[in-house]
Amino acid sequence: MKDREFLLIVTSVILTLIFSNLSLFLKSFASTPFASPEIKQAARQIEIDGFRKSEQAFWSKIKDINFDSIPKESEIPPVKTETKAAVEPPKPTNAKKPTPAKKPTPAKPKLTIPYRRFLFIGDSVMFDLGIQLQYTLKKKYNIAETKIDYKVSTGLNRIDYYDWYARTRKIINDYQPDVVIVLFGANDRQNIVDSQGKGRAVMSKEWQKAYQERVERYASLLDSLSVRKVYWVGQSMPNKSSYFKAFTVMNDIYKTASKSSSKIEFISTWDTFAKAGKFVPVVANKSGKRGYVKNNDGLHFTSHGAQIISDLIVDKMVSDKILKAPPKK
Amino acid sequence: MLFPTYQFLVFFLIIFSAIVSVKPQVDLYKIVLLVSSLLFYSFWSFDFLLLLIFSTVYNYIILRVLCKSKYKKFALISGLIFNIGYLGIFKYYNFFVTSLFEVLNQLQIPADFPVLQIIAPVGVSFYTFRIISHLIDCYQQKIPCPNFVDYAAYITYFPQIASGPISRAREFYWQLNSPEKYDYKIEEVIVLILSGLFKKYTLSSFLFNFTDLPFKVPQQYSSIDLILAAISYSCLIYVDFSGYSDLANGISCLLGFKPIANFNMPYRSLSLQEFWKRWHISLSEWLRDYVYFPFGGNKYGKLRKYVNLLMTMAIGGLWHGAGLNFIFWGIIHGLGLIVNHLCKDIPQAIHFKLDYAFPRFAKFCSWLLTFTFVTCSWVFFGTPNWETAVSFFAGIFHPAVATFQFNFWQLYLVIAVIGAINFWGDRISQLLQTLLSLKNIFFRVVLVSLLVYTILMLGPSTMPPFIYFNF
Repeated sequence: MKDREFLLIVTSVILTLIFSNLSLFLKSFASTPFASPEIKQAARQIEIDGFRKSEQAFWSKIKDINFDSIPKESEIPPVKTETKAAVEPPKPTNAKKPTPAKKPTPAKPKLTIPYRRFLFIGDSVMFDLGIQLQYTLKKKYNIAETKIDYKVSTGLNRIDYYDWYARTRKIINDYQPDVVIVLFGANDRQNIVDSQGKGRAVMSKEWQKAYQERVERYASLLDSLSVRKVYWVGQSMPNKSSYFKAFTVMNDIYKTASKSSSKIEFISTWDTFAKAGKFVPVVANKSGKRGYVKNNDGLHFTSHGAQIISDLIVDKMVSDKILKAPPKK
Repeated sequence: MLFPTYQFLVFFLIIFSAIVSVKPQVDLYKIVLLVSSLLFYSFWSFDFLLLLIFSTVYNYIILRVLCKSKYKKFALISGLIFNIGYLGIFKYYNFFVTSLFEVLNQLQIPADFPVLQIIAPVGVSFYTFRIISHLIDCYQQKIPCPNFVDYAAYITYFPQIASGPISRAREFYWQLNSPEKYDYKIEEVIVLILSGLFKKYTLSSFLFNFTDLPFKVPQQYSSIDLILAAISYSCLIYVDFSGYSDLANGISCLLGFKPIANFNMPYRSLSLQEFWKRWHISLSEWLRDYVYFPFGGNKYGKLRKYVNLLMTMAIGGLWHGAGLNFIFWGIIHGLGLIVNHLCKDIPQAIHFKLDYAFPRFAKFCSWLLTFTFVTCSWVFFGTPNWETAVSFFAGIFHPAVATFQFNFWQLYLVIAVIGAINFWGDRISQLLQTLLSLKNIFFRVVLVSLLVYTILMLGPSTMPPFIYFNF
């Protein structure tokens, strides 16, 4: 009798809840393994209104709050001069055209705006790398204005789940970084919905085309924003055979997209943890210390692995004259 | 399959309807319960299910040998080796291999061990602990050898398999085989489920956002932010785990089992000893009975007692995770408990006059000291490694960032609510039960719907995982 009464209460409560928020119920239910791909695809279109929107805004506010700790432009110390600029900062759109010089003057030191702010964008793999980059930039180059903007289980595939286009536009506009380092791909090895709204099986030719479109769109976005230099870090060889082919394809796509952009440069890390085309679990860093480079899942870096990749990126930035070691005291 | 999901709700309604109809028929009831548990576990992963079945069958064979043959000690030792090895491979192998590599590397001895790409099966620590205690209980003849269905139902019991509480075989079998099932009160179950949902879905999910990043990159936060993050983590781990226990207990009640007290307002403790009597009670008692007592407990003098206490807590720390930070967390709790025992063992030497002069102030000091100690120790528990824990504490005293980022009234409110649950949780629960005990079913439905709706609306759109699923 008691069990039946409880069942009655629970059923009534469920019905009340379903009718009071049908969209939430449908969306939750469509995420179960029983739901067919069509149902799952339809569920992505369902918008959940009300409290959740304000909740999302609240968390975005918390996530963005680091901006408050960044000094305002007026607080930034005067610009240093160097004899040669690494890369000229973008000119404001409303700037007047420079008048041609009447006569050649002796070479004066060019005014260079140093690269001060670094932004690291990506998934959880980027988070591991970003921590190491932050540490290296702070310790060796005295650069403290760095930010990791990461979101676990995201990428350029499931933009219905997390819209990296919107997020990137917002964070670059708000944070105004000089250099952006991007790393995606670990969560993108899944079916994709192409621009016509059709689902494409992972690694099929159609999938590659659709993913390439996503990557190119992202590259164009980065090109159009105020950032001065972008490094697109490729995937390193995974310790997981099922990801081997996918990462090779993705790296080619990232590389091609980077070539067609003026700001983006692709950094290949594929061979960093490889020997004779095979993954090597233990690799020595610059100082000769050996250590494991990937975690149990075969994808995420250990801190040692992250340090090796971070050194690779930092070396590239030094050779591009983006980084300059501060004078020793 | 997480408890607070529609998926589980549908699953449970089907299971519950089946259980209700077979409750009086004990044999059929056991089969339905076992099948439900296996089905529930298969939702995590089919491979995990196969491992669970293998472990259950293998351990049952050992148990039969232990109970029926003369090679009892051999069966016990081989059972213990198998289970510790099973837990070791899935949970600790990579940790030991990488730690050994580090040591050899320091000594400049070339080494290269393979790292296994394995994910520990959900609840492996919990069900392995149940298997181990069952073996020991049978060896000590505290319980007779069960039949296979009873044993499998106990090991795989789905409300407790992922995150406990760690039930004891004797009580479980007694309830399983009794035609008279636990006579729950509807309001008691509703309060347990609502409490679990509120703690996990609303409070824990909220606090996760204030602890996730500060515990990974403390250098990005100011001193006050880090203090708030540490307090938030104390609150988070409590609501996350006790919320799960409440849900597991509520579901257990409906299936015919008495709820197991796992948390009893732990943050109101006035000493570390009291804290461990209120925090994760089923684990504390398990460690006491199957680790501390076999080490000798307090039978061989005070020094030996303190050593045993330290070793038990270190093992308890290692049980929580494969990492030096977990072992260190266990050790500092062990040291804290030793200091606590010393204060009691030699009261004349360090008698505290404050107790008599200002009893309330003394109580407050004791509470503050205990809470601060526990909160600081969680930093080692929650940070990914030793270096991050050190930079967390360094950040409190020498912050790299000055801006106060977590100044939100919502955060203070949530901390206050969790404080209230810790000090008056029993009264709040009683009050809610009285409210819900009215006979009018319409009133009950409206009130429960309203409360569930509020919890869901206050919850996030995505839910972070249960912290204790990792253990």
